[in-house]
Amino acid sequence: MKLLTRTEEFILLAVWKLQDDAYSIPIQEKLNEITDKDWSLGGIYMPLERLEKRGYLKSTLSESTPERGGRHKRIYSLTPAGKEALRYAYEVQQTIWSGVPQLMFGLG
Amino acid sequence: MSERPPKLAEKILSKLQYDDVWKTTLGDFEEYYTYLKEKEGFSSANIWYWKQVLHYAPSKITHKIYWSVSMFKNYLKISFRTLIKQKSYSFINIIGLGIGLTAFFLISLFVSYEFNYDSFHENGDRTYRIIAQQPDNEYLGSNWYAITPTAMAATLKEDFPDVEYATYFTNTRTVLRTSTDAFSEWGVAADGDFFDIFTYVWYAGNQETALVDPYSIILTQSMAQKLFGDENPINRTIEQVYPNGKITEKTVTGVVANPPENSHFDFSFIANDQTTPYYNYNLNEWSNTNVYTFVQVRDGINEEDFAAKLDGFADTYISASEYYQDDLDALPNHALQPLEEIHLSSSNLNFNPSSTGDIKFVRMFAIVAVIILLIACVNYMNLSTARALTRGKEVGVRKVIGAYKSNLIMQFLSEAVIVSFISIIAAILAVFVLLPFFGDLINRDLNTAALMSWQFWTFVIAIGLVVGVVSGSYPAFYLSGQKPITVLKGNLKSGSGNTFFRNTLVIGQFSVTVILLISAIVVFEQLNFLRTTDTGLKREQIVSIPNNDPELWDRFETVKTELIKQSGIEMVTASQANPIYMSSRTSGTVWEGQEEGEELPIYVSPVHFDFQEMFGIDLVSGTPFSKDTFKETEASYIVNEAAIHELGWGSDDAIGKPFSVWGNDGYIVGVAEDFNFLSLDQPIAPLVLMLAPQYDSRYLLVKTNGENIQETMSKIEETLKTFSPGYPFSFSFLDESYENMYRDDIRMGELFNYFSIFALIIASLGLFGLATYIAERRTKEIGIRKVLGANLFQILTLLNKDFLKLVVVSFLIAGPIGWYLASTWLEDFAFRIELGPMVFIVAGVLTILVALFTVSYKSLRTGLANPVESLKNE
Repeated sequence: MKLLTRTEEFILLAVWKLQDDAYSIPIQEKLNEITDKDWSLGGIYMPLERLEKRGYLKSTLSESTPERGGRHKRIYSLTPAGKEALRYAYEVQQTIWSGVPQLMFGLG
Repeated sequence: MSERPPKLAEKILSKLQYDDVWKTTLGDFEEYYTYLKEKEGFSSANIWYWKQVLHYAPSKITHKIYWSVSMFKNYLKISFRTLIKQKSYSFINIIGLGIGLTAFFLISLFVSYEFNYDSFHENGDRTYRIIAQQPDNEYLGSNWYAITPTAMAATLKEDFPDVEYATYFTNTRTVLRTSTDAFSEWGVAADGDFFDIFTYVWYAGNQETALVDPYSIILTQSMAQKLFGDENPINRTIEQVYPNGKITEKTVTGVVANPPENSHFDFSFIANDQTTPYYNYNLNEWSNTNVYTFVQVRDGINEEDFAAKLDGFADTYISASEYYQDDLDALPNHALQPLEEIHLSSSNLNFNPSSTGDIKFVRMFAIVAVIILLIACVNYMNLSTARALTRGKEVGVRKVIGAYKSNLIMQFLSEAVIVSFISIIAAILAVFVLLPFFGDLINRDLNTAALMSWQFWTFVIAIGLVVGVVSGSYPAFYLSGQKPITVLKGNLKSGSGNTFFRNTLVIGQFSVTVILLISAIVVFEQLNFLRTTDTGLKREQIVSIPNNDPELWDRFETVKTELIKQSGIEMVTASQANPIYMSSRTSGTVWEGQEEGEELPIYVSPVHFDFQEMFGIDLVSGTPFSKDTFKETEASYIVNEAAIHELGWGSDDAIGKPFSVWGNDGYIVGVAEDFNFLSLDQPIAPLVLMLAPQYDSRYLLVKTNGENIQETMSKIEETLKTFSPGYPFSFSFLDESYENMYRDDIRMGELFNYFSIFALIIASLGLFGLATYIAERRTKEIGIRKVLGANLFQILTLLNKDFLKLVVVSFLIAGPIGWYLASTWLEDFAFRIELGPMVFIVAGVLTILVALFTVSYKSLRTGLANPVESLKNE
């Protein structure tokens, strides 16, 4: 299985956490919150699209709100494959971090 | 302050892409915009929003172009495949459109040439000719004249500050000779600012000063070549011999290029008018009306304002002149005629310097061109919609895959445009080949140089697009409007509404074609009638030899005796007027019983003995001119029937009555039967043949016996060289000259015929395509019918009758319209053919035969095919 990139991993996690409200703007906010950086909207469209193409995400159109000028939202949700990819990423993470000397954190 | 993002930016973004994903993205933008506005304020939100435009626009636009191009590539590919797959249809479409476009381009080039006369003069757009209407003086059917008084040009320049330059000129034939050579040439005698107004290319001499000296002459390049060969003509002297025999010595002061063909007057030389020896008037006269007056107004002067200022300006001058007869109604009205419009707007003017164009013909041809092109476009429409079924599957599949209607419309339009451009390539090649012949046919200097201008190519491309869009529009909307489910199920009939539309188009095509054919036949018949009708003047075997040598005419009797001695010469006479066009007219007549102020406008032709006999003019009463009764001191007259009818005399009473023309008192000796002495669009008017010794002739007329013409001609030339050395010898056969009078008309008539045939061919091609298609579709049906016992005749009837019905209906529509147009056109001729049923029968039978033939070709093949062939494929 192909390993997720960091950005992809974050986005998938954000979508998972946001549940029913997972569309671009909240995703962006979530990412800002997690990483303490300013994510541009453009910067998350591409990975979203890619993830959807790979089958990790699916999207549905939902109702609109006035502040969107009457336009639909595209709500993302994780597919089983998406969850599997996250699980795999987590495992790899665990594996690679295990055995790193405790000392290093002390230095930080 | 608005809550929404900047309108323009939003609009741009929303145009970039149409799908749902993009719509939600725009929603995101707006939401974020609202959020930003609250957090960081209005302006930074706006800046952010605009940034998105800058960020997305380039990639989306390239994307769009990329896909349009690849779609277009696909359209191209499909178009070419369709074209190649259905060779015969493609061939019919391309040939039909090609012929139509060829005709259209040829006519367009002609029309554009006609509209570009005199456009080479630098300030042509503010140059005008003054023309005059003489209310009391109708001549050859019009009282408008191209000529004005000699004094006018100078007066205009003096009286009107608006006038920058003014000039006048006459256009006459004189003899130019060196010690060795003599040529009779058309030239211009000009005064005033001739070269400031008319622009020519100068090879030698100074434009400012060349015409200043009264004894100067400027030659065209070819005239200089004729007179001096390769020697330098500047400052050489030549003799100019005028029609009245006066001789003036001239010095060559300049050489200009030959005037362009698209000039309304032609010349071999330009001389100063001051030295033209006039008969009996001087140059600063208002009574001397025989020159063309031109003015060039200052830059920025408006034509209408200037014309308003000119109104009536000449009245005082003219009424002060000694020839003016105190009749206010008789004062001429003057009008401005823009130089560049002279060629096409002068056909109703008398005394044009050379033959003019005819706006009516130009219009007629322009209409014919558009009609032919439309007929060709309709072919394309008909064939494409008729074949909707074969394309139906493709349309269905495209729709199912997701093509919008607009995509399909684009596809079929591009197909039509592709076909139209292929036809254009063929048409341009044809135009290249045909243009010189076409130019000859219409007597215009059309050459392929005209094809090299960017204007022409812009026009060609525009026409290609228009033709493509016009012919592709209906098929595009029709085909793209099909429901995919019906087409894919194979239920698409060549629908009945569609058939109706197609039939209407075919009827339209054939109606127009039949109208063209009827008109062409009528024009042809009428012109043929003009050419061959008996005018009452026998012109055969008569040679006309123009000569201006007064000494020759002084010794005419001797010359006559000398000539008559030669074998091959039957009769010799002479006349002052061109015997096939006696256009000189006067009101200076006196007759018995004339009342005070009564006038008889009469055409007059001074002739010699034997004139009336030579031309076979029959006398109703009286005797021919006879030497036995002729007295040197009095004139003899032969008048025509129209004249005595006008005077209220009987033909026998007229004989012996005193009569006088131009002050030559004499008697009427004979009354001639009416004959046509002008062209046949004029009714026969009063005419008098005058025999008076003091009038020099201009034409020596010799009747030959028709054998050994060359030998006879060289004998005549020899004789004339001895009597009239220093004068050029030229001759023409009167029957040929007569035909030449109608040459332009006949040319136009011929062209009209060709183009009607073109129309018929194109319309038939369309019918052929339809017939082929129908025959193909009904192959199985025919097979079954044959198996069940139908014979060939029944099958032919079955296949042909639908088409024939259409053609017959077209004929019924076109007949009355054609009749109306033809009779309107004929009304202009004083002598015309009867519009009998033959014309309609010929046009109808021709159309039906051609239609029957084209349709039957395919039907016959289907009908003759072995039914096994068509049925075995199930």
